[in-house]
Parts: sequence; C-alpha cells; structure tokens
Amino acid sequence: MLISVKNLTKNYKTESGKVTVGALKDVSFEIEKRKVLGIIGESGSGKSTLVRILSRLENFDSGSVEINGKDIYCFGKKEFSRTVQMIFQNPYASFNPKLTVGYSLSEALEKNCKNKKELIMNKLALVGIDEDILDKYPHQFSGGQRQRLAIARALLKEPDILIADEPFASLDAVSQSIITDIFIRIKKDKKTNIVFITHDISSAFEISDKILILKNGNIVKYGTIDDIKNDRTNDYVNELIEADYLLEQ
Amino acid sequence: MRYFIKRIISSIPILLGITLLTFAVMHITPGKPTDIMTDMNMKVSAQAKDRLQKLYGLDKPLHIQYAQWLKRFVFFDFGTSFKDSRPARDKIFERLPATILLNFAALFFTCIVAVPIGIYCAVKKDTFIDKGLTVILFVCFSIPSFWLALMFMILFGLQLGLVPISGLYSFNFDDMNIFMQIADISKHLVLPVAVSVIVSLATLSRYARSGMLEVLKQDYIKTAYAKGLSQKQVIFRHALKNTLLPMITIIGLSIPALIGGSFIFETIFSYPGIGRLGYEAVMSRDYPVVMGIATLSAVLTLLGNIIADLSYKIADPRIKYR
Repeated sequence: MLISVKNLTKNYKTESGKVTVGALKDVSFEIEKRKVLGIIGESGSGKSTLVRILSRLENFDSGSVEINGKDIYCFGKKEFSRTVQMIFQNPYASFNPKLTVGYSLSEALEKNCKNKKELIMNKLALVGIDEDILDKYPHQFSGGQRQRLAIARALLKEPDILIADEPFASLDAVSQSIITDIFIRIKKDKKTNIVFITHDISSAFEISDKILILKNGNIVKYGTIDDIKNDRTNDYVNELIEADYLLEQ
Repeated sequence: MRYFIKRIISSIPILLGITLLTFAVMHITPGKPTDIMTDMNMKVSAQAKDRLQKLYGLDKPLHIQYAQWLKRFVFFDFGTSFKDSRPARDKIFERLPATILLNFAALFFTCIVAVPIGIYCAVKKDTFIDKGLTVILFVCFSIPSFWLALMFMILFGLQLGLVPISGLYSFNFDDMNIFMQIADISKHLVLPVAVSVIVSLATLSRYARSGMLEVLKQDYIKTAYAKGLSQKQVIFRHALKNTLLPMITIIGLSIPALIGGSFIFETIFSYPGIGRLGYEAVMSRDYPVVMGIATLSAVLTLLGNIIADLSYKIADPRIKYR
C-alpha cells in the first residue's frame, strides 16, 4: 500500500480552549501505488486537515498514518522530502518573493547535484514553461504559471506522492485545464502518485482513480469513480453529482 | 528617480509647516531670551531692555521675524545664538559627531540584540522562553529611562567604579595615545548606550517577533521545509529577509533621533551632544539654536522616510516606484 490511514482522529481546540472541534473522526482508508486519489468535500469537511497530516504539516490525536508501510513520523526529514511533496492552494504565496524562481527551484535539489540545470529544464518542460525564466522573480508570473512552477518545484524531488491542496481553486478556467493536463501527464508517467483536494467533482472524475468524499470529518464514500457514479444510495453523493451535472448543463 | 524628486519636492511644504509651528510655539512660550540677561540685573533699564530686543530683532512682528529666519535658512544660516553670540550652525555642528556616535552605537547594539531576541521568540512561540523574554522586555520598556540611567550611574559608576558616569572624555584625554583615547570614549559610552539599548529593546524585538510569526505562516516557508531544508536554513534564507522588510521603516524613522539626540540621556549623562544643547537652548529661550535643531530633525525625519522607501526597493524586488 502506498498510503494507509487507520482510525485517524484530529480535534482542534477553539482559542479559549474550552470547545473542541472534531476535524477528522476515525477516518480509515488505503490507496495503492500508481493510483490518483481525489478528495472531495464541502468547506470544513476535514480535507485540508487530512492532507496536512499526510504532509506532516500537522499532528494528529490518534490513529496511524503509514506511507509505503512505514509510519510517517519514522521518516527522516530528507527522506520524507523525497517521499512526499505538497503544493498549496494559493500560488501567490508558494514562492519566496525575495528569491528568483531559479534559486527556489534549485534549492529543491541536493547541493552537490551536478546536472541541476538539466533537471530543472526537464521539469519546466513537463509543466510547459520556457527555460528563460530562472532569473525572474515570482511576482513576474501569473497565478497559473506559478502553480505550474510549484508543481515543477515539487517534482524536482522525484517524490512518491504529490499532494495538492485545491490546486485549481484560485485559477482561471484556462489555467485549471492546463494544470489538469499536467496532472494527467504525471499520472501517465507513473513515477509520482497524486493526492489532491478539489471542490470540482468533474476534475476529480477526470484525473482520479479513486475518490474520497468527506463530510464533517467522516468518510461519506470511498471508492473508484464507477463506485461513486453507480452507487446512488447516499444523498450527499447524489447531491454532489447532481450539482456538478447542473453546472455542466 | 522621478518618484524621489517628487517626494523631495512634496516634502518642502511639510518642512515649512514644521518650522512655522516650532517658531510659533517657541515665541508663544512665556519668557523672552533677553529676560535671562536683564531680569536678574537690577541696573538694567527698560530702555536697555528694549535696545536688546531690537538688537536681536525681537521687536518686530512674528511673521516678519519668521520671514527673516526663513530667508537666512535658505542659505543654511540659522542665525546667531542669543547666549554666546556664536553662529547657531557652528554650535549644532560641533555637537553633532558626539550625538551621532552615541546614537549609532545605541541603534547598532539595539538591532543586534533585539532582532535575534524577536526571531528566537517567534521560533519558540508560546514556550516558557518566549513568555519569559516577553515579560523581561516589557519590564525594560516600562522602566523610565532617567531612573534606569541614575540607577546604573550609582551601581556601575559610583559603587563598582567600573565606568565613568558622565561626559565623553576623561580630563587627561589629550595626553592619551590614540588607542587609549578610543578606549576612553568607549568607556564613557557604555552607560548611555546600555540604558538606551535596554529601553528600546522591547519595541524592535516585538516588531521582529510579530514580523517573523507572520512570515512563518506563509506557504513558501512550508515549501522550504518540504524541500528538506533545515530550520536554520529556512529561518536565515527564507524568513529573515522577509521579516526585516517592515523593520526598515522603523529604523528609517529612527534616523532623526540619531542626529536629534536625546534630551534626557544627554542631560543626565552630561553628554556633549545635540540633545543637551537643545535642552539648554530651550531653557534659555535661545531661539536660533532651538530652530536650528528642530529644522535639522525635521529634515532628517523627511529624509528618513525617503531613505526607508529607497531601502524597500532594494530589499523587495516587487516594489516599483512611479
């Protein structure tokens, strides 16, 4: 198994510390290697908490999370950075504004890596960005370009898992379609597995092999696209699919 | 370049406003410069007093006096001191090096102590160390500087005899070689610089802390950790420069204080700087010297703002001035 999550529970305390909010309640699922996982759910359903836990940006209260059969907290820092990489929702905040894009990208590679430029060029080609951008600063790119650069930066580590927290959320339709194409290319490449959050169920259907639907910290449905489309017994899943159908109409 | 020329031109009315206000306040204040020379002397007649007023041009209406002052100011002439008839400009400029030395030393040490404290507190947010340092800094901030100066003078100067308590030079300064002279000046600077650093630590370190906390929340910091960089690399390479940017304004705005001097410190430590000169000038209603110092401070405040803007451009490639 690539990712194995068992009985994962995460609670947040309010600022006063008196009220506890359950972000994830006894969540369990597994995903095999070379499968793309799409996570869907409304705001506050626990999607971001889940991917932040998978990226070790957040601790959890109970349960276990394993990647390639190993507890995520047993990975060394460098080893984990080669295993999991994450891209964020806001492409404007993903790059240090004071550093050139070239510097930010090269930082992802080891210090003594000899063919840095070649590796960077390969990844830039994968995300469809010209190579003459290395001396530019992040503010000189559009949101869509920055998101593509963020993907290139993450892929430079050749991670087993690329986690994307709502990568389409703040992008225009054209940029969304470019990012979707990039994800499909990464999927075909079969080197990196993708876990991504989206509100857009049609993107999830387009890219994912499996879909995890969350609501109020619980798993509503987890399965392949066919499982989700054919099982119309769950009201919430029906609502999501119908809402998407109406939008497409 | 055009932006800075525009900024300099737009600063002129502000500068005139400040000089007008200072001039008005000085003249509204009870007591005249000639009072010191005449009131204590029973032999001075009313006519002699009038003649003295006329001599200094104080008999003319205020707007004429201000216009005359402005005319001289254009040629960088602040007038003649009422106290000893020396040019006010010379009096100010001969005190300037001592004030610059004291305040630059104070700012330098404040920065090298406060910024690391602020950054350390941010990195160790909500720990015992963070909370402990916060309490200590607020205590430092709350202590009246004059009281702390007096306590330090008593403890380190009088009781322990470690450092001199006043002035900038020892009485035998001229007989010393260059190294001893440097050591002598340094020893005299210890107390005023220490007091200045202690009372200003809190402000700068809190700015550094809150700035760092803000930066540490950013996605590019999480990305930097995800790249496998160590905490040290993330803090120094990614967070520090972004944290220091807002502090440029604070440091830029402290430039006038560097030159304008501190009335309290310099008076308590009998330090031969602009601050003490200003205090003495205010007490003796020496209008030309007071106006000279006020104008110099105003020019430097405006200049400090412009320098801060310029520094922003250097520190942040996103900033473009039009």
